Amino acid sequence: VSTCAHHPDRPAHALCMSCGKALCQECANLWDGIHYCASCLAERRRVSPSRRPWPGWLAVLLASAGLLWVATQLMVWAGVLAVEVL
Amino acid sequence: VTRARLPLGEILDDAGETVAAVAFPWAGVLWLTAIPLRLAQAHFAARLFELGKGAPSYGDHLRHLALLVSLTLLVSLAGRAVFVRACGLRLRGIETRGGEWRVPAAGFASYVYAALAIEAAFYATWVAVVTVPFLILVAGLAAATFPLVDRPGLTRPFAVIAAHATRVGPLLGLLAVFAVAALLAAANLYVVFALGRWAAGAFTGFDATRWEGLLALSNRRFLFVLLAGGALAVEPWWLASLVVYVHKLQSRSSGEDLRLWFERLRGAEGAG
Repeated sequence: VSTCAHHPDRPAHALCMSCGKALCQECANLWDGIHYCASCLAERRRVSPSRRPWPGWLAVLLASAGLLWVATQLMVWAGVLAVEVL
Repeated sequence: VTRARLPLGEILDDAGETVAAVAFPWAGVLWLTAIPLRLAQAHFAARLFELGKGAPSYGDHLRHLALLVSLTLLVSLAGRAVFVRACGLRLRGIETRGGEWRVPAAGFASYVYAALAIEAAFYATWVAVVTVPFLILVAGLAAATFPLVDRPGLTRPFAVIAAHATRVGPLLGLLAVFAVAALLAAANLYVVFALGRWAAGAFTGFDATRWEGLLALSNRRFLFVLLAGGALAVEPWWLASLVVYVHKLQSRSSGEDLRLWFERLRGAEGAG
């Protein structure tokens, strides 16, 4: 049985999904359903906020609203075409 | 080993196990949110054929029905996201109490955007019949890969889909299997309706002639309901298969499967 990378006397409970280290229950940090070691989790938390995701959010929300309208119009067009073709 | 094949049978077996494990309540959530969409689609298609050549004169009416279909699609996407998350957590062996509902916001917003783009492409290109299976596959992959989209963006969801569409063989195999499965499910549904009609004939006051006309394949509305029912019946297994496919692809490329394999070997050696 593999042991924790930081505590060799303890059995491994999980693997860090970023660096692959074996971790005991104390060292394993569950973040959004995925196990990370403390240093990888700190790295993720440090990087995430600095990306300023709001332009991406704005683009996705506006594009989704536009596509909802376009898909609705295209559905009617495609339906009428289907009746004529079939 | 990272280039190892992804056998179709293995994906289907794992998908069957995953659906059985998450069926209660997550397949129920998926079905409950998908039923309005499938019924709205069937109603829209039936109405179109009822109007026939006169359909272009009923533009406003058809647009209202199409808007209803689009809105029910949004509800259905939420159900799919929860189901895919439940399957993903199960495959990673993570047990949470209600964690399945906590769908990542960035991934879900990107999924809604990608699904609407695929929906629009579907209606714009359905005449070129070859695009239909391709877009159904892309829509499935969009659902299966949405948890991997960590930030919102216009190209990000499609880049993640493209990165996971590398094994054409298993994907085409899944598409073929589920196309046949949906048709078989629709045929079974027809038999269930026929049996129900036959059993109801035993009761006095049952208008058999009327129901025979309504539940006949010549009735387009009934035919569309059967097809919608077939699609609905196989949806949990279809989505679970794609989640399993993405999970296997990820674990093989990251070496996670190798690590687990070594763990098992060492465990067996230790036990021996």
